[in-house]
Amino acid sequence: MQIKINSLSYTYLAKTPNEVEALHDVSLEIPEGKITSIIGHTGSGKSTLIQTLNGLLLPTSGEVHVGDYVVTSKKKKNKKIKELRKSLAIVFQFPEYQLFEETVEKDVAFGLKNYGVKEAEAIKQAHKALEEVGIDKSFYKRSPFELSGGEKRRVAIAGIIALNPDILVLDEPTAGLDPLGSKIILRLIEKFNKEGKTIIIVTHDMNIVLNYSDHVVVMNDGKVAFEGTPSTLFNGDISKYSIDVPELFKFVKILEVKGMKLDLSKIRTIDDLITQLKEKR
Amino acid sequence: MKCVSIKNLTYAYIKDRPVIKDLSLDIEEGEYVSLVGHNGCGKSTLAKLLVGLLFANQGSIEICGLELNSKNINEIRKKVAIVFQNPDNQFIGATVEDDIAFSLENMCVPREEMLTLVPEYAKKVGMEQFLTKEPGYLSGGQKQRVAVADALIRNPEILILDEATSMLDPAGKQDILNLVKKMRSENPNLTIISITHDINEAYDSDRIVLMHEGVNVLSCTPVELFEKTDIISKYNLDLPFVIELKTKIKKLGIDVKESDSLETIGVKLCK
Amino acid sequence: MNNLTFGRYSPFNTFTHKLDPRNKIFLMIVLFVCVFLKVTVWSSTLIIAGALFLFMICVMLISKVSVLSLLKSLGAMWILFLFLLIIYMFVPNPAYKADHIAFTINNYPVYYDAFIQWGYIVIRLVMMLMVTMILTSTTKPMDLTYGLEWYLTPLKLVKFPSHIVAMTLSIALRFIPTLIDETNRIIKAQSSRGVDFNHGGIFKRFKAIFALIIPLFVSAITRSEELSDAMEARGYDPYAKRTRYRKLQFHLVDLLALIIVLLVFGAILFLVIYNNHVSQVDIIYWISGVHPII
Repeated sequence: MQIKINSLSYTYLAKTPNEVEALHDVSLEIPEGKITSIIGHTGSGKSTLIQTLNGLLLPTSGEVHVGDYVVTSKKKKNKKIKELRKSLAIVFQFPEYQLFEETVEKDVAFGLKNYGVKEAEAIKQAHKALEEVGIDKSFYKRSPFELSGGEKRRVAIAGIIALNPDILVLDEPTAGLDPLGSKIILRLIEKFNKEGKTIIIVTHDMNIVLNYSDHVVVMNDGKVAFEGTPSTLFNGDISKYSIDVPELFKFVKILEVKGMKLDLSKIRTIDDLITQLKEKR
Repeated sequence: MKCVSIKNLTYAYIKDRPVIKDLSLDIEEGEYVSLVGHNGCGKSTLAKLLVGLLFANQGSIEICGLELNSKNINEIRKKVAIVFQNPDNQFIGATVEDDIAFSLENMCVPREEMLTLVPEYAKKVGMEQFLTKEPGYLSGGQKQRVAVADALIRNPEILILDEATSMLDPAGKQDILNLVKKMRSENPNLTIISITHDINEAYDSDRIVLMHEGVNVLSCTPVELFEKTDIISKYNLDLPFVIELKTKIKKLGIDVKESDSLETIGVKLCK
Repeated sequence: MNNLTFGRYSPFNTFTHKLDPRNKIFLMIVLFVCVFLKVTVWSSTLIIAGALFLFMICVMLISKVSVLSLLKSLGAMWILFLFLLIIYMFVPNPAYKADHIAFTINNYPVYYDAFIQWGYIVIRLVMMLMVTMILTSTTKPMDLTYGLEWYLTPLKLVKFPSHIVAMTLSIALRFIPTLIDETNRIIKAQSSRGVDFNHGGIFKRFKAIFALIIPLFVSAITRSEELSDAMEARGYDPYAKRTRYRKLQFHLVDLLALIIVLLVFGAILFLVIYNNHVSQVDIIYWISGVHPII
């Protein structure tokens, strides 16, 4: 499914003295089947943007096309929004806060049941989703509140994956996890992408952008400031968006200044750099 | 001088399932120690034991020569300040100034003194513009700066940072780290115990204590730790970028030293 | 959501905003008494109510309280007013004069007096609403708590934990915005799992509410645990002596406000006493202001 955003604007508290324009005339296309990162400092409009994608927020003007679905400012036109939310699912920041059922499997099945899947079938599909995120069978009948932070997050993600969305949007998926927990989540996201899902990640972590994304969108003051590949982004002048340059690229730039010629589009990790250095020698 | 002395400490929330097992650790005055390890390794429990929110089942903790127990807990709390992880859940006052004053009120500091101290410490953390602001109007990083101001205003000998930056965005995180650096240069006697997952943050400290399942596996300088590749892979630790880069460049047969900056490595590579 | 804005603090710096919250609480009570002082002579009732109403409109304008938001909240109360009207029209009352019949419904007489009584109760309710709005939109909730704590202080003599009550109240107030944010976040997260909070049968809605309430409770409990840890680590002991950073101060403006309101009160009291003395009405009846509806 393709996502196309046409001159989208969103204003919080519209028509009051406190109104804030969070998005201003945003036009974007999110490539299908790829991992896209949306970055930008706090308050740049990235969270607002993803919430308009499945109609949690209705645009003040402009529209979002997701496949055949359209999200517009007119309430009446958004009838199929519940169906849209099944195709484009959002995993919010700290998703473990949305767990509430008495067992892990029931919590994962909850979303399916909201879409009319029968109990037995829903549990069956829930088991499949839990297997996908690597939760052991012994946890299925336990309370989700007994799990560790990283496990809870995987259960919450399973609850979304069970809906089998075509597009998966994740807001800061690794926030608050330890390095091991983060790696597990990121590997899962890569796996979902390989299975054909379009992935959108909102993040502050430049290493996710560099190591995992195919495409990156930079938001600044409610507008799209940059759109392209991660290596083009970090190779250009990004100081104006108040984004950290990954240290790898700081180093690559030093090498370039010293006159070394490198193929930037192929550098994502230290190992990539080392391979190119080896070829030079 | 020993500032913290932990001897054979054991603590269990549930009987027979200890989260801290026979742990011993000494920390010198003015030392900056990072506690690293995966979630559930007992780091945060240790922090709670150090500020007397929990009391040990076995073993002892001595803070500045005073043994920590329920009798002298009030004395201890004047010496140890802690900044927790969640900026929202430790903002007690209605406004920035009320929150910074909270500890002083508990210590029965006269109001006249508070009126000069509160703006002074707000300024130290760069929050003097926000004195009358309510927490709803502040970013996570700003709230955490207020928490640091409240910790410092008590003039503690030990400051514990319990994942104080983990819920902040990069800008907020950098603010707090710069603040810690500034505090250390202003008061070299301040002992800092920082619990963190960020290996780059730990790299700046004097010593890293690696914890695993309630035991301190290792205690050494950052540089020493990063040389122990077996430990790094066994406990699934990240390496700071510079260290990883240097190790891998060394394998190319280029002589890189510990003290080399990125700039120098660049020069060596381009030769 | 619009109803939530009723009486919310608006950060201006007017005369009323500058007043000491303790003073404002006292003045509010005095004005409540004014509203409830009652005379039977109907012309002076009208004068008192009219004058008081004008006075409150003035205070509202001075305090920059939004008249629009008053009208909005009145709009929300129309059911109550309608209910009262029905009661006054159809519940028999011996005080209604037999020759004051306005019209009859199926031979059931409806008196003019019923409408007068109803109008008077409505005006009183509106005025009470106005006083409350003036207080809450010119005083920060936290200052109200401090004011309240001051009034509760004498209760310490009978071992009433006034400080703990005030601390609890102020923390509750401090966390209201946080919990509202949290609620919105959970609603969005559950909506992404196909929960529909607005449509569907009773059972579905019940389940939807659970999907909101349980996570909200879990997070509130975590918050309160962390908060109590933070308070304890910062040396808080509810039973120990503490000094205070906040100090409420009685300024000259407070004296001025006190004099004005007491003058209004005095004038009304005079009118009431004079009137009732001349017309020789039962004293208990005018103090209580309760009309003997039997």
